[in-house]
Amino acid sequence: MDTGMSGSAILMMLVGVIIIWGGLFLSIFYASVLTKFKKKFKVE
Amino acid sequence: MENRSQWGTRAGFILAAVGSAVGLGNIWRFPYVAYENGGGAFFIPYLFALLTAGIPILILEFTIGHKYRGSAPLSFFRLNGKKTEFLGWWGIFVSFVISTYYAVIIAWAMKYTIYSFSLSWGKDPEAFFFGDVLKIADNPGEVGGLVGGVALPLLLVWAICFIILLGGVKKGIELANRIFIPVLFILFLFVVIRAITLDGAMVGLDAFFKPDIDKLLSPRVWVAAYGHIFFSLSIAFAIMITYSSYLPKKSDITNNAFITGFANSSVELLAGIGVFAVLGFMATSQGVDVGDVASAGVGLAFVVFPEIINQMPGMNGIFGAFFFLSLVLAGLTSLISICETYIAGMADKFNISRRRSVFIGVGLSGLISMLYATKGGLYFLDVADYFINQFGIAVIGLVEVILLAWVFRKLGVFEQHANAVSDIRLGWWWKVSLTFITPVVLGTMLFFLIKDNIAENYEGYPTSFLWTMGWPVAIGAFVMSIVFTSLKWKNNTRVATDYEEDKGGL
Repeated sequence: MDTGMSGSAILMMLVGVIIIWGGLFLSIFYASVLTKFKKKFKVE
Repeated sequence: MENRSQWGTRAGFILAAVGSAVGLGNIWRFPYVAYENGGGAFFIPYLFALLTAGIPILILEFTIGHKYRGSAPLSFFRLNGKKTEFLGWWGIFVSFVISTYYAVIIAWAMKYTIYSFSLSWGKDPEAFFFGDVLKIADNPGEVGGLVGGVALPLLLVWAICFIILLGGVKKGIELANRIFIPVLFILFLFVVIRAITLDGAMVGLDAFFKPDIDKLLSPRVWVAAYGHIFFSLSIAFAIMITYSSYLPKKSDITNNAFITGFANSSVELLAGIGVFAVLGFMATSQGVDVGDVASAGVGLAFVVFPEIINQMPGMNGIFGAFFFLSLVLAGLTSLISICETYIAGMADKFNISRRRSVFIGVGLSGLISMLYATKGGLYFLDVADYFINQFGIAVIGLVEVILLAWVFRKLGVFEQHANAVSDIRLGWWWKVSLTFITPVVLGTMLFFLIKDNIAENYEGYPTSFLWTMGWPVAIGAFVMSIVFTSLKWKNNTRVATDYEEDKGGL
């Protein structure tokens, strides 16, 4: 499939998306799910 | 003990912090900075800067605000008396200057939101913006008369800001951000989705993401990445200290900083995709390279975007309105945070009510902002923005980390405080980032900056104009910080009591 973008551009887009949006997702996940889990099961 | 205002929820604080960080620069500065400095390769220094300067300084400022529970000057006063209080005032005066011209840009964007529906800029958006809208003066330094078409929406911006700030932390700032940020996200997502479905969008994205690895060898690219992260995250000008001072005692400082930092970068990445997709469309339809149409700042938003909107095959009006409304919302949430610094600072120092502080602060900045609504306003804005950002924020950041990490050696105390309330524990990377990496990079940045400004005048402006509007503004912020630090705290029980309670618990 021709996306109109070079392979290196796609690679860098994926790097940016995975690290930045992934970082945001992980930090929100950590704040909402893991913190509640730790509180519920009193994990120190 | 005082009853200090608090955020209603953790999400409320995070939305407000993200609202402050996400401003006009995310939309119109980041895409061009990334493109100019290696395209996709820029993400390497950018991410490095985010993790070694942006987020560490955010954690530092969240910790200061949370630990000392005061406006920036009060927090720094509690930290080490008048030896550090000036840092808070310095940031506040930088914020004050920024608020005066930032409001004018929001006023232009408001006008353009309405203009979009009828494409009022016609076939020559450049002549329309500089001629019909700004009625720009012939020479820098000329004030000309007040431009009514700019002054009226400017008054509206200040009225909105006034009402929100008068509502207080929870019912004003938090509520506004709870509404504005989700709406901004939805509007901007629409803009980006429409942009990437245009013909030629992929050509633009290829230009934006294609890595120029050789550029990574240039120190200036790394300095640009650190500089951008620094300006983008609302750090070093009192905002994050003020906002975090309203956090409840049990608040996860470190993870809040990670969420704020990554959310800000996520919006920047989205903006890069949206902006370069439409630039690709424009370049393709005109048969030129993306580099020929790529631009940033005022020119990108108020000249290039209207040209692109003219050429779009459909949904022109709604696309334009959503884009400019996104600018309005991004700008308003940042402006509110900027104004909150001096409102909180004045209330603490002079022991006056919040209501009175809002009247004085917003009234004064609103009055001064009228200078930028004159025919010569754009020249004043351009020079004030450059000098206050480059020689204000960057220098404060450098002085802040040197004083806290090297002179007063407070990082250990802050690390202990942050770790006591956060799930993510700070480690050696945080101290190394603030003690070594940030001062070295900011020092290098200032070296290049001074070198460049000695070599030639900014944008070729006359020296006399730069010494009227540029240097005095940057130097004035520092001088005023010393003046305000020398004033006594007015019969203020807040200065000691609240902090002592906290200190006992740590």
